[in-house]
Amino acid sequence: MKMFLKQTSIAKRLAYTYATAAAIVLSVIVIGLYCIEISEINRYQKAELQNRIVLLEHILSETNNLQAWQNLKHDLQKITPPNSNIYIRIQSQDPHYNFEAPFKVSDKLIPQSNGFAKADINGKEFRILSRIIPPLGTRPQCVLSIAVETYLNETEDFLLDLAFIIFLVLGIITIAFLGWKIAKSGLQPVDILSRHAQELSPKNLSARLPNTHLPDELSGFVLSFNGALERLEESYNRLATFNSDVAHELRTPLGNLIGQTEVALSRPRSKEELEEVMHSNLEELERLRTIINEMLFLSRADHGELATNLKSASLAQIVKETAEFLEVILEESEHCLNIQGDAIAQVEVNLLKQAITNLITNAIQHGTKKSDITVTIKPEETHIKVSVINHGHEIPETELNKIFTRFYRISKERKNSVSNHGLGLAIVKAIANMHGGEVFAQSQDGLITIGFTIPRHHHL
Amino acid sequence: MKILLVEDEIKTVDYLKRGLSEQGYSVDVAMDGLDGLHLASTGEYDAIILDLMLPSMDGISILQNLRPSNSTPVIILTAKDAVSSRLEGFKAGADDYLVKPFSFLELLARLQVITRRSKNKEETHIYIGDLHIDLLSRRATRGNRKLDLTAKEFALLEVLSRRRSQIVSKTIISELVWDICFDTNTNVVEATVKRLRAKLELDGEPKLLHTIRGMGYMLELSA
Repeated sequence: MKMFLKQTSIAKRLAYTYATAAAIVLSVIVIGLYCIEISEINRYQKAELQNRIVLLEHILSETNNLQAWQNLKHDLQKITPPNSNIYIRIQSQDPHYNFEAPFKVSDKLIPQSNGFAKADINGKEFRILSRIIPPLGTRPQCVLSIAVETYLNETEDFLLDLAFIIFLVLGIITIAFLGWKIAKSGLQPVDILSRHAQELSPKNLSARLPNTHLPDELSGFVLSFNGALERLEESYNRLATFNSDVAHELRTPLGNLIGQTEVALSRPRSKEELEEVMHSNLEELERLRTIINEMLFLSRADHGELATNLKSASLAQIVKETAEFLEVILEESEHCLNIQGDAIAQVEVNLLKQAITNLITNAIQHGTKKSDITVTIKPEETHIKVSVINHGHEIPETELNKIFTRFYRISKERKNSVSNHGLGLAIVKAIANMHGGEVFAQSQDGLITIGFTIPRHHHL
Repeated sequence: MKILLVEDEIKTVDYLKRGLSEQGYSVDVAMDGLDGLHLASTGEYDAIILDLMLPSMDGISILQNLRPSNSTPVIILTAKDAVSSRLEGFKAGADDYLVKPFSFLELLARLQVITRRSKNKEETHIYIGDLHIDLLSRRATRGNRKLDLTAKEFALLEVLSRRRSQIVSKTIISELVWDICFDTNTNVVEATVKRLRAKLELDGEPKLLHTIRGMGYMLELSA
């Protein structure tokens, strides 16, 4: 049943549910009605018997001699012809005062006391009411019994049952059908949505499901579905531009390699010349390797890979060690680096060093020459904020969101692209994400702040 | 020093075999998994270089069949760079792990580490021409001239002098001098080498610290 329900349509499912509910409710009603009907019939019959017996009882109780009895008997004979459906019997010790019509019934079937009884007579069910009539004059005490066939013989009983069953079945079928119809019409917006959804494809990424004239229950769903489409479109577009950027980024070193090698081989060269070409090729190849490795790293982060080798470490210590590594280039560019604050966090030290290296290198490359660079480590309620602050040209708000995009460069011209593939900040973002953190960027009053957060308590 | 190379890509086999032979290793090659397992379990090798994706039997299965009875050090080569596949390799008993594309120098350095080749003797004094490095007192002199080196410059000199006449890549220098184990895209190593060279080689003195373009640096009396 469960399997069945799972596969079928909502409309059918609702119809089945309605039918089941209807079956239960209708059965209760039908059984109730049936009981009421039966008791009504019984009550009516008893009342009828009572009415008749009251009349006879009155006449019989006033009969005080044989003459009057003969008259009564004569009258009784008249009202109980052989095909009569009323049975009357008067019985006493004196055989003169006995009467039974229209047929004979065995004594033991007739009760000898006041009250109702039922008995099977000649295969038919009879309801019997008896009264004891006290003696008067020469007439002895008599037992007056009057019986009628119960209205419900077998056939009538069966017909009544059948009527109820037909009523029940028809009711269930009608309600199931109506339920199916109602569900169908109620679900019509879903059909429309499904037709719209079928038209969605990578070719028209900006298509959305219509959100007008929808019932409340569906508009929420459509809203979140459209939100998901929005995000998909965004990441699809990002991927598409990323792919073309990758191809472009790889094309330059590849072109150099092919060209240089072709030129070198086009005529005889000295050993020194060939060596020079090989060295230069090696440099280009190293560049290719770095780009590929970094892109693979980014794609791993994209697939949700998390930092695994987590250790409790002082972030200020990590920044200090990174600064020691960068000391030479900081000195050469005449930047002074300050570290403020500290916090202990669960981090993969190597990854964090890489993120901080990239942030400081970025500050050196894009910041004002000979200015201070400050790294602040600020523990907040749920996370720790690591910011690298440098003096530099204001970055417009619209550009700020893009600086973590792969291959993004603030100035369109590519300066010294050997040491900068435009992936540095994208890697910072990937590392923050791998630790369950986020990146942020601000530009205010000539100060550029770029940094990332690390959760204070790492749940993995 | 005998090495088994299990790799099915002909070009890779070609240059690795040539490069390793020129470094004085004797190299056996197996080009599919079953051959590799057979050679590895019957031959006596100082190290095994094992590709993961191989015909007839993959690298992890070879490693699982080999361990624990055979404890020859194994370096895994692979194009897969997921943490899970790295863990799988180490769990199966690999000693080191290199992701393609890797540099040949890197492979050489890792080989030296796992075969304990570089750790043959703890040197305390190194002489290269008129350069004298005292590794205990951490002082260096050239001729009669005392070199005034910063801690990192001395560490760089130590790394290069311990591997004198060998090319040392920038990756290995970053790792050994600064404990930085990732591609930094910075010119820190170049800049430090430049400073060291300025102190090491005054005008007229013979060159000692050589730049091998695209590969790294080498400390040697003459190029």
